[in-house]
Amino acid sequence: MLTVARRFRRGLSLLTFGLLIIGCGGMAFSQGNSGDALLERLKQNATEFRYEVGKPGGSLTHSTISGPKTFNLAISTETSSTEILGYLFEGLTESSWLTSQMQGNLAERWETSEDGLVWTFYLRQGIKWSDGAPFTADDVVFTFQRIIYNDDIPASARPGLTIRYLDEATQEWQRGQIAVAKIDDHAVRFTLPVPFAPFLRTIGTPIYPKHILAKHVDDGSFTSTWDVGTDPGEIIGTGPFTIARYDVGERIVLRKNPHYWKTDDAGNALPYLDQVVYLVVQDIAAAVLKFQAGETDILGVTGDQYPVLKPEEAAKNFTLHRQGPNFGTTFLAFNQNRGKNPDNDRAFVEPAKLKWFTNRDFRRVVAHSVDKDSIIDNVMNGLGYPQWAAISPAAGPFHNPDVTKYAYDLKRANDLLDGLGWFDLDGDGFREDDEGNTLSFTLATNSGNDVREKVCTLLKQDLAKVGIQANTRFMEFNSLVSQLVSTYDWEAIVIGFTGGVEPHGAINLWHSSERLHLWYPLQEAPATPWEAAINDLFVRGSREMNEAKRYAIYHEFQQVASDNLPVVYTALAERITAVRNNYGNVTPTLYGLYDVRYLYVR
Amino acid sequence: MQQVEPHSQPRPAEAPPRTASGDPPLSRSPLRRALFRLRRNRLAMLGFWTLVLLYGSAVFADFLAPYHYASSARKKAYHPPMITWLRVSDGSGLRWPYLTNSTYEFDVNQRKVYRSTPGATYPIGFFVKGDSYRLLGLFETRVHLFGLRGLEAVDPDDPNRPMLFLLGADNFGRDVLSRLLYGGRISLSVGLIGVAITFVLGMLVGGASGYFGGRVDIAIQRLCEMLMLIPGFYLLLSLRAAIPANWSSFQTYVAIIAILSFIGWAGLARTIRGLVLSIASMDYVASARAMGVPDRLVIVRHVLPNTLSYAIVSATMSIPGYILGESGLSLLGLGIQDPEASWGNMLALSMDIAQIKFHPWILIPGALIFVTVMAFNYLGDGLRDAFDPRGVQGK
Repeated sequence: MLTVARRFRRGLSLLTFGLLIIGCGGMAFSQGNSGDALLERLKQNATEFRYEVGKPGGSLTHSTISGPKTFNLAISTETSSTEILGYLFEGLTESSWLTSQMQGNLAERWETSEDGLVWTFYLRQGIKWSDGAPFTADDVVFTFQRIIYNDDIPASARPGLTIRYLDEATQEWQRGQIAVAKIDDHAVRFTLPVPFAPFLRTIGTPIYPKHILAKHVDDGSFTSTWDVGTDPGEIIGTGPFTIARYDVGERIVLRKNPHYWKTDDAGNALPYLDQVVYLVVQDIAAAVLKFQAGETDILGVTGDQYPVLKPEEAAKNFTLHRQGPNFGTTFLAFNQNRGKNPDNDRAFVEPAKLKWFTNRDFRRVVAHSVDKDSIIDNVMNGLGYPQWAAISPAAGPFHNPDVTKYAYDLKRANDLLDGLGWFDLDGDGFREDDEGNTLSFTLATNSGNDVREKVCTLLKQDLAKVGIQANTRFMEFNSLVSQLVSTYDWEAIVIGFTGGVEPHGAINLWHSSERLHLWYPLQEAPATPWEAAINDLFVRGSREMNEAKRYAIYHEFQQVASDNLPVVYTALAERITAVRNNYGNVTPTLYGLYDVRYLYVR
Repeated sequence: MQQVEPHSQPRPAEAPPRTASGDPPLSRSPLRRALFRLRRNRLAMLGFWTLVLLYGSAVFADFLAPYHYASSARKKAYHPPMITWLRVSDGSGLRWPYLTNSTYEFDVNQRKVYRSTPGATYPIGFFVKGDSYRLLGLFETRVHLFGLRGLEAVDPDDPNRPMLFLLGADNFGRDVLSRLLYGGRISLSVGLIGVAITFVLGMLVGGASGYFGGRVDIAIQRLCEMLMLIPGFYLLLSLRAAIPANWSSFQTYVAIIAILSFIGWAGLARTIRGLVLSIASMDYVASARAMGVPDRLVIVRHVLPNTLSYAIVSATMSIPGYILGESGLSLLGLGIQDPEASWGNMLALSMDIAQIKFHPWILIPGALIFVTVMAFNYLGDGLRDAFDPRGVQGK
């Protein structure tokens, strides 16, 4: 029985239901949070940090709950694969782990035209693929033209590199692509249809080798190329590591790429480490045990585990680094889908319930019933932050600290329901609406996610106190997602999205025409004025090149979102990582803990 | 003198049946003789009285429990058991045991540490007023066997209100003892009801199959085999997935019993069929048929009663399977869902090693499942020995 339980957890945790993580620079951190001192320290760490010259050799061992499902990074969507393949592939630009500013990677420098539409990237000389072949502009053009913008390939980078704009002449919405042209072997020109603020960040997408993959794209076999059955030696990238071996269900061994281009300040070849190893473990508890036993060197820690590990820091020679609020959010959403199932002509949501869910006061009642303090103290063991705005405080100046806040206040919630004229007339403890329907709905989340299950349970208790019946339903993650994106027959849900520094990454949740616009996806025209306003703000935000004005646009978006509450946020967990003390060039910042290329064993 | 004997052995010759303790003469019915032997099996009786205690406490759970199962003080999550927190002295002399309120703070290791806060005192009391309930479903009352007194000035919605956690609190600040008592209602009744359904189904289908033989027998037995072919737990999971999302917890509870029974009857039907095959060839059955007694009556009156001793033993021994099945489902979050309590979903908390280390009292439901299963097994073993005809023939 326990084995089954473990398999369940394992199965669930490797799925991410997320947005593209794209980000943008900017560091001034918003105030008004209990973790201000911590955030200040993290910022200071980033400014004070200087790379030490390390020594080559050694290895770093991680644990993972699941090994990669594919070696084809271009089409992979779950983190178990992207995390490993991130060591093998690089983009033209990269986000600094210290400041989150974009800096050159494969590209040495770039120029932009006055109007911001034409960008020229100059590639670094002397970069080689891990098989020794030279890296040139042809690879960049190939990656964009033949893979990312190829309709036959479900490239995970495509939505982020598709630009939405209103065609002035026809007044119609257009989805534009970025034109890519080779200037010479070490220069590429990108031409945008309209100015696009997140461009520098989205252009950091990984570049793939033309000399290996071109033939697979030509014969249409690209999506089945580089599956996990491939000899890992055939996976060719420019990154600092290559896959030495993959024992399914056991371990993944990454070995230093001898052709890697980057050197440290003293001219020594990077990376310093010989190996990075990922041990595949049964579940989170096993990962903690492996770390405690010294078999792994680094571990992502949850609030629950913190008190277990903290007393062992000195004896077992590691440090727990607290890194501030996570980007990933946990929220509650109501199904406001006004559509009907074309097969049987039945409404996706029962009309009576749709009436409550589309009622802003009803959603406010629920917002006032979310006990964020209990979630933080009881579910995250005190290591969390209340979330009010749609953009996490981790995103720096994009975060709006002054949005409308709905304090945990059951009396206020009761008053609001009284104001709606919905009372408990039949004495069953739950209120009825104008037409006598008992206020009762199903609150679903995926089983195996401890935080979400507990949030549901707390919410159920509190809603019962204001006279609303929520039936919690913990279901398997895949069936939950299929309800969200294909059958639309859910009522209320607690789910999480990943996030990033760049707010534009969330457009596939917030734009009303998007598939992940959970509460009413794929709308032809926005159903409500506030959805129209959010659409507009997102498009304007992506076109505004002035940073300060961009911040204002996204602040306004968060205000509109908090006023209308399509989603009710809960709390953000703290990011905590435990690392052995014998590694050099490690410091906790808001965006990371180290650059693996500079990591060395003291 | 009586002696405790290895329970699975046939009992040796007994003393001549006429002592002062009222041993039944051999002429008594087999059932009486079995009960007599059962009463002399100490382990079986220990199991029996343990079960009486457990089921009794489940029936009176709402009176025995100081709180309702969902009653919580959220700022008291994982409060340690309060047995050692009770004070009996106020400095000037002995007092009736009392508590003061307590609050937590996070220590340097981010661990919740509870300290009692000086101030108002709350003595333990018997027959105190608390959450209202209907005793035995009949009349509404607020009286609980025990609880805290002196709560008049306390806001019942205060997340840090004083509560009595004799066996500690769970992750939402709910009383583990109360939840154990309420959870027992579900965990213990699932076994009884489930077994009852299984046995009616299994005995009737098995009886019919063995008695009629031929095509009926083949059809029924193949159906049973198909059911038995599917691994039990996976069948359980897939059936569970078929339950609609919007069912209430009571409906889910009934559905879980139905699922558990559905999985259990096939094996029993096969064994009963085998027994019936041999019984049906007995002379008295043949004579009953020859006298024109309808098949229905022959099965119910003459055949099935002779399988009863086997059935009773088998039922007792299979109840733990149902209890474990429900616990397993609830442990995975597929059974009884929070805030309703069952021993299985309470035990789900201890799937995290970190929690067991700091809050060992969350393992108590596991201990209770263990005790219950052992008790049923001892009782079942005792019943088997008691019904064993060799116990008589051994003379």
